[in-house]
Amino acid sequence: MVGVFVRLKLALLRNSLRRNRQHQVGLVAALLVCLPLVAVAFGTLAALHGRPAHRLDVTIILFSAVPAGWTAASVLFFGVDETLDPALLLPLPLDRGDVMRGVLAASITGIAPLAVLVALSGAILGFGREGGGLPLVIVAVVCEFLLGLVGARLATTLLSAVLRSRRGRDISALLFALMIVLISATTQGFLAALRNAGTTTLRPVVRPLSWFPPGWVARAMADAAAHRYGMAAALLLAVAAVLGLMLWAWAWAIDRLGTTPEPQARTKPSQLNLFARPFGWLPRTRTGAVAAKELRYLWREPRRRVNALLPVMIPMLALVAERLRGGRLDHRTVLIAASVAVLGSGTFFNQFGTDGQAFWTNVSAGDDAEADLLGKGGAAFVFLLGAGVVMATVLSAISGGWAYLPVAVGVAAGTCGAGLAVAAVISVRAPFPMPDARNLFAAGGSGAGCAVALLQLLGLIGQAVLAIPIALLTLAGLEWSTPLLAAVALVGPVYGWFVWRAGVRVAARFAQPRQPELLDAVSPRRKAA
Amino acid sequence: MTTPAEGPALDVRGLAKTFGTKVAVADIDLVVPPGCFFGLVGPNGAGKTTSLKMMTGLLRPDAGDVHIGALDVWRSPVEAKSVIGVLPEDLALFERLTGTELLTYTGLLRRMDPEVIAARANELLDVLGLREAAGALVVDYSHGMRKKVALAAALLHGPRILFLDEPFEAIDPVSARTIRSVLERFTDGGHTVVFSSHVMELVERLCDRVAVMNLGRIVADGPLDEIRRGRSLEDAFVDLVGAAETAGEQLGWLGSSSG
Repeated sequence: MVGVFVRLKLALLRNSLRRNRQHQVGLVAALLVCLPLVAVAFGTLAALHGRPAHRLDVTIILFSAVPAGWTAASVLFFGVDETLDPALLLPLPLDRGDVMRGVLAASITGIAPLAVLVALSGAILGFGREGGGLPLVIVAVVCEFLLGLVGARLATTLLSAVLRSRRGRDISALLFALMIVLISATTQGFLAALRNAGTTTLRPVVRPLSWFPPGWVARAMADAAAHRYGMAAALLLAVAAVLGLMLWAWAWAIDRLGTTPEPQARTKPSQLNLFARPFGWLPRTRTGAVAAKELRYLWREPRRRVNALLPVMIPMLALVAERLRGGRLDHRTVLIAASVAVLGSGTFFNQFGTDGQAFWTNVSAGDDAEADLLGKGGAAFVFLLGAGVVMATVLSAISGGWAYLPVAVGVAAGTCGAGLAVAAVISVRAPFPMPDARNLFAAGGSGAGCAVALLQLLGLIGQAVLAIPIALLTLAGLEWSTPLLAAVALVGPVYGWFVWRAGVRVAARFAQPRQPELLDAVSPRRKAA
Repeated sequence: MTTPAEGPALDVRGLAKTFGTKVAVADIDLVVPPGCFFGLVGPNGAGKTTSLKMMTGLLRPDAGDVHIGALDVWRSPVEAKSVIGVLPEDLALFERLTGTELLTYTGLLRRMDPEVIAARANELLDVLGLREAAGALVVDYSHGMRKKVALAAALLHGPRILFLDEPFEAIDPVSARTIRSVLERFTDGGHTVVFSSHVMELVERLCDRVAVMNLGRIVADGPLDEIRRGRSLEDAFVDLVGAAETAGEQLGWLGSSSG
C-alpha cells in the first residue's frame, strides 16, 4: 500500500509538471526559494557545534518552528494535494492502518519534506560530534521530523470538516495572505532584535517553547552532546510517547471523518438588504446597486478582502517597524495616510475581471457601462477615502499633527481619483479573467502573469502622471509655503473627483458598444476536451 | 396558443458563430411563436448554448439577426434585453450576495422601482421555496437552489420571453416540479419560454414545438408531434443526430459475479 501511494504521488507530480507550464515555473521558483532556506537552516544547526552558550536556545526555536510551520502550511493549503486527504480514501476498501500508512508515505514524498529533513539533519553535525551521543542525536532528528509529519496530518484531519466548508476555505485563504505579510514584517523585527541584543532577547520565547515536545527533542540533543545520555534517552522516550498519542488521535479522527457533517451556513437578518447599513445613503439606482454590491464583496470575498486590507496594513506595519527601530513620528507622518489611496487604487485595475463570468448579469440587464464603472469606482473611492481618513485620524492622534489631517485627506482624494481614473480605463481596455484558485496573490490565468504585471506597472505610471499636480502642490507646501497645503486640502478632492469622472467617461465610451466582448474577456477559458 | 396575426416572439435569421476553425453555429434560422414552450435539444457540443447566448445578446454573432418581437437584439440591445429573461447554463452568479440581495441587485440593474423589487422578490422566493435561504449567501446554495434563485432573477422584471439553458439539469425532482409549475404559469400568461435540455421526457411533456440541433445546425424544427412522428422524442432524436449502438459483445464482464 505504501508503494502504491508513493507511486501515485510521484505520478501526480510528474503529470502536473508535464501538463502545466505554471507548475514548472512554480517548481523552479520553489526550488530557488527552498534551497537557500534549507542551506541557511542546515548551516545554522551545523554551526552550533562548539557553541554551547547559544545552541539550545536557537535549536529550540528552530525545532519549534518546523512542526508549527509544517502544520500551518498543511492547514492553509488543505485540498491542494489530494493524496493527503484521508476523506478521499474513505470510499475505497482500505482499513484504517492502510489509510494512515498510505497518507504518511504520500506526505513524505515530495520536495518540501525532503527539504525539511535535510535542514534538520544539520543538527547531527551541530550536536552529534561530541562523545558517543551521535545515535541519540540521529533518533532525535527523526523524532522531530515525525512530529511535523504526524502533527500536520492530525491537524488537517481534525479540521477536515471545517476546512472543507466554504467558510473554512475563506478563512484559511485570508490567513495565508495575512500570514505572509506578518511574517515578512516580524522577521525584520526579529532579526533586528537579534542583532541588537544577541540570543538573550530570545529567552522569554525559548522558555515556554522548551516545555513542548519539539523543545524536548532539542534538550535531548543538548543532553546527548553533554554526555547526559540517560536524560537524553528519557526525553526521547517521552517524545515517542507523544508521537504514539498523536497517531492514536489521528486514527480516532480518521474514524470520525465519515460521520462529521460540514458546518452549515447561517442566515442573518442583516443579509436581506443589498445596501449595508453604513452605505444606506447610496442611491437605489443601477450605479448605487453596483457600488453596494462592490462594498459587500470587499468584505465577503477573500481575494478582495486581502486586496482591501493590504494597502492599509503595509503603511501601518512600516510605521510600527520604524517605531521599533526607535524612530519618532513627527507631525508630517499623518501624510502617510494618503499612501492608502495610492497603494489601494492599484488593486482596482481589473474591475470586471473580479466579477468574472457573473458579469453576464449586468450585460443581460441592458448595457450601461458608465453606470457600472461609476458604481465600481464609487465603491472604491468610498472605501479608500474612508480608510485614508481613519488612518489619518489615528496618525494625528498618535503624532499630534492634527493640522495635517485635512492635507492628508486632500492628497488621498486627489491621488485616489487619479488612480481610479486609470483603473477604469485599464479595466475596460485590458480586462483578464481571474484564476479560480486559492492563491490570492495569483495575477491572471492562462500564463498571463507577465502581461498583467506589465499592465499594473503601466497603470501605476499613469496614476503617478495624473497625480503630479497634487504631488507638486504638496511638496511646494511642505518646502516653502504652508498656505499651499491648505490649497491641497481644498483642491485635492475636487481634482480627484473630476479626473476620476473623466477617466470613467473615457472608459465607458470604449466599453459601451463592447459589453459582450468584455464579458468574454473576463470569462475563464474552458479547457479543450 | 399561437395567434397567427401576431408576429413571432423570437425570429432568428442566418445566425452563425465560429471559434477559430470550429464552426459552433452554422447559419441557423428559427421562428418561435408567442405563448409557446419551445425546446432546443441536441447532443453535447451541438451549439445550443452558443445559440442561446447569441439570441440573448451575451455573445456577438459573426452573422445573422435576432428579433424579439419587433426589437433587434443586436441593434437595440437595451430595449430588447428589457423583455428578455435569461437563465444561463453555467450559473455564474454573484454568489457572495444572499438570495434577496441578488434579486435586489438584478432589479436595480434593470432600473426597477425598489418597492416593486422587494414585493416581487418576496413572492418569487416564497413560490420557489427559498424563503428560509433568502439571507444565506448564494455560494452556500445547493445546485437546485442556485437554479431557482437564478430563475427568480430572470423572472423579476416580468419578461416577455425566457431563455433557459438546461434548467432541469442536475436538480432534484421537487425543485424540477417547482420550476416546471412556475414556467407553465408563465406560458399560460401568453409569454414564451425557449429552453435547452437533455431530458427528453420533460421536453415531451412541456413543449409545443421543438428544434433539434446537431453540429451547429438545426436538423429538425416544428411542432412536437411532427418531430416525433409516432415515436418517442428520444428515438426521434437519436435517429436525427445519429448514435453508435453499444457493442453487445463488449463489457460482457459487467453483471457477472467474478471480480
